[in-house]
Amino acid sequence: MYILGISCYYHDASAALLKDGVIVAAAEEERFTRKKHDISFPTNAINYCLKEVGISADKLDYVTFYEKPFLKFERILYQHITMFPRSFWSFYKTVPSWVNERLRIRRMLKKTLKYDGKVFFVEHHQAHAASSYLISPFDKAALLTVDGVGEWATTTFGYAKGTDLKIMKEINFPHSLGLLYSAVTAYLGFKVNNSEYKVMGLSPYGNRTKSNPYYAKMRKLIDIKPDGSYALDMSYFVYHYKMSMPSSKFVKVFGPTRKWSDPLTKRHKDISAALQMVTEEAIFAMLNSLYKETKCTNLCIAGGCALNSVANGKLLRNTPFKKIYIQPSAGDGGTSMGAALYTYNVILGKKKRYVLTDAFFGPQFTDRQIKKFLDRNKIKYTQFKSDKELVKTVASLIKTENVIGWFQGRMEWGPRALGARSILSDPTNPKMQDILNLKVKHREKFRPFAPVICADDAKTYFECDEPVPVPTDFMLMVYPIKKFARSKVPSITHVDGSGRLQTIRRKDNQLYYDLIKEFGKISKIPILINTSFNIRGEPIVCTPFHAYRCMMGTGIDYLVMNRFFIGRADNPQHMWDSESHAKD
Amino acid sequence: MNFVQGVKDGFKEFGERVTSVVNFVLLLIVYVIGVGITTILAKITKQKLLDFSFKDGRDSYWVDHKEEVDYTKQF
Ligand SMILES: [Fe+2]
Repeated sequence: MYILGISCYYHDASAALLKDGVIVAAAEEERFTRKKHDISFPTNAINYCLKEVGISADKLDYVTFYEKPFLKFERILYQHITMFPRSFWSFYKTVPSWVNERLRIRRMLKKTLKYDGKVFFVEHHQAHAASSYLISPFDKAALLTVDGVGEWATTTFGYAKGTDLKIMKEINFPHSLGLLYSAVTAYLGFKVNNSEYKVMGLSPYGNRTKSNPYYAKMRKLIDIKPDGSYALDMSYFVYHYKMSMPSSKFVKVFGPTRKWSDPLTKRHKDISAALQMVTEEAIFAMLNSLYKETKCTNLCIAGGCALNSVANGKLLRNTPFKKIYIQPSAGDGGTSMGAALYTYNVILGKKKRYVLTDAFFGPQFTDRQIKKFLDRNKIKYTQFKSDKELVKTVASLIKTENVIGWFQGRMEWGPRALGARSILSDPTNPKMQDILNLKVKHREKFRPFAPVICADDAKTYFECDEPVPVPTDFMLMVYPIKKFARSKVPSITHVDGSGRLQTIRRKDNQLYYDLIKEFGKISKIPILINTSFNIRGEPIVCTPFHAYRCMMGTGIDYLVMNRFFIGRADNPQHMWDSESHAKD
Repeated sequence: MNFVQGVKDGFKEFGERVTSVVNFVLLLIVYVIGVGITTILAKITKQKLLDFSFKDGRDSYWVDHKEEVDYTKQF
């Protein structure tokens, strides 16, 4: 039985395909269209999923959409009615796409896929909850979903046992923890739905105590009840009728809005710290209440706020939960998978039989395909004879200040590079943050790079929960780096001594695991810098062409695709400057 | 050839501008009449379509979830 899940038209569009309840392919549309956070109907991602199993759309048993479009449109109309006439501009900008596309899902499926079979529509937060619980190792769990907004709900909590998944309570628009985070992201001069993680990364630079003058101000915006429910004071926001987010009252209280080119001052850092503190406070309150209600120690979370890895790293220490599961694509991208799983397990009542332990569901390329690409484009390369030779050579190149483009196996599902499309370098080199920024990433100075470590070494270097939770494999948990190690890995140590680590288990990615271990033998520190393989402002690379183009447009020194080894300096004819084209 | 292409492009751009003006006017009419009248009716009948309540004395902001069980429906 084949079930296709689709998510699109709001945040990251994606598609996921289940075969008899097992995920066989999943990808975000942006990887194919090369448009970051592409929200359009995921034709390319769907075609990839179908191609992966060699079927056409008429072989699909069900297609499930990740939300109920008419219910969402009702909320949007209510916003316009309530805010008339101030909502005209937003009405003018958004309503045509609703009429032309968003309310015509069946027509779209017929037009693009020639699919005329059964179509289901599940609620957005049901898709979120399913996207985590139904692939978790748990047979029962408490559920929390927190995002910007779905149809009406912005936060839900529930409980699942077996394949019975129930959302019990919710908080509805306009009150939204996700939109609060996005509003402050916009206020701080960063891109909404893209750079919330930058605000999270900025927060340790601010005052993280209640003496932070902006904490009390931020706390005034949100009323958090002892049962974890909350409401926002909407006089501080305009997102319910405008394309922008904070109101003039917000600016009056917090000071002038920052433009992206303005320097980051102590005020901005304190505001981000206050926001992170308030977010954590709200999440912990919700979780404590959720535990009281469910008395279950397993927790599954999802929604955009589940990507807040700083909060995630503190969850088990601040709540009664003992085990946590978050899937790699915890935001809206993951809801296509959630919608498909919900169909199989909940609607059709089939037994839960799949646990997601790695994120490799995207396209992969054979040696033949890669060789053909290299030969056709007259690219100079060599080929390793064995994985052992590859691992030894690459580890020593990393140790000698080289930056490596690492392209192996199936592309990752979700926003993080996890060792299939990664850029790797040496965290023990104090200059590496500057080198990486100069050569490739050009990112804000305040953001350190992320480390990857073998799961069996994690406890030696990080103060992580025990046993290391599975979401750490997806770079979703920030933990303190042990004091003795901080000075040894300066380029991955944040100002507060924390690191957003990825742990890797050999069963999930043998070559990547062996490379890290080999680097550990040379450097005495079995940790690498792992950052996403992309040109600034572009999505993570998908194909050999994207990877090669990225290396030639940046300062990546070598590219390793399967066993093919390509040097940037050996191919001067294809060099270009990606920075002159970067959009972000 | 360049001249012909230039004329074609010019017409295309003109057409797009006309379309966007027409769209704007049509949407303005829909907005003023459709949304505007509904707003007046909602105000007369004191309908609260969005809940802006903040610190209104209640103990909890949670609301019970009403499950939509017909998955074939878009609402
Ligand atoms: Fe969402």
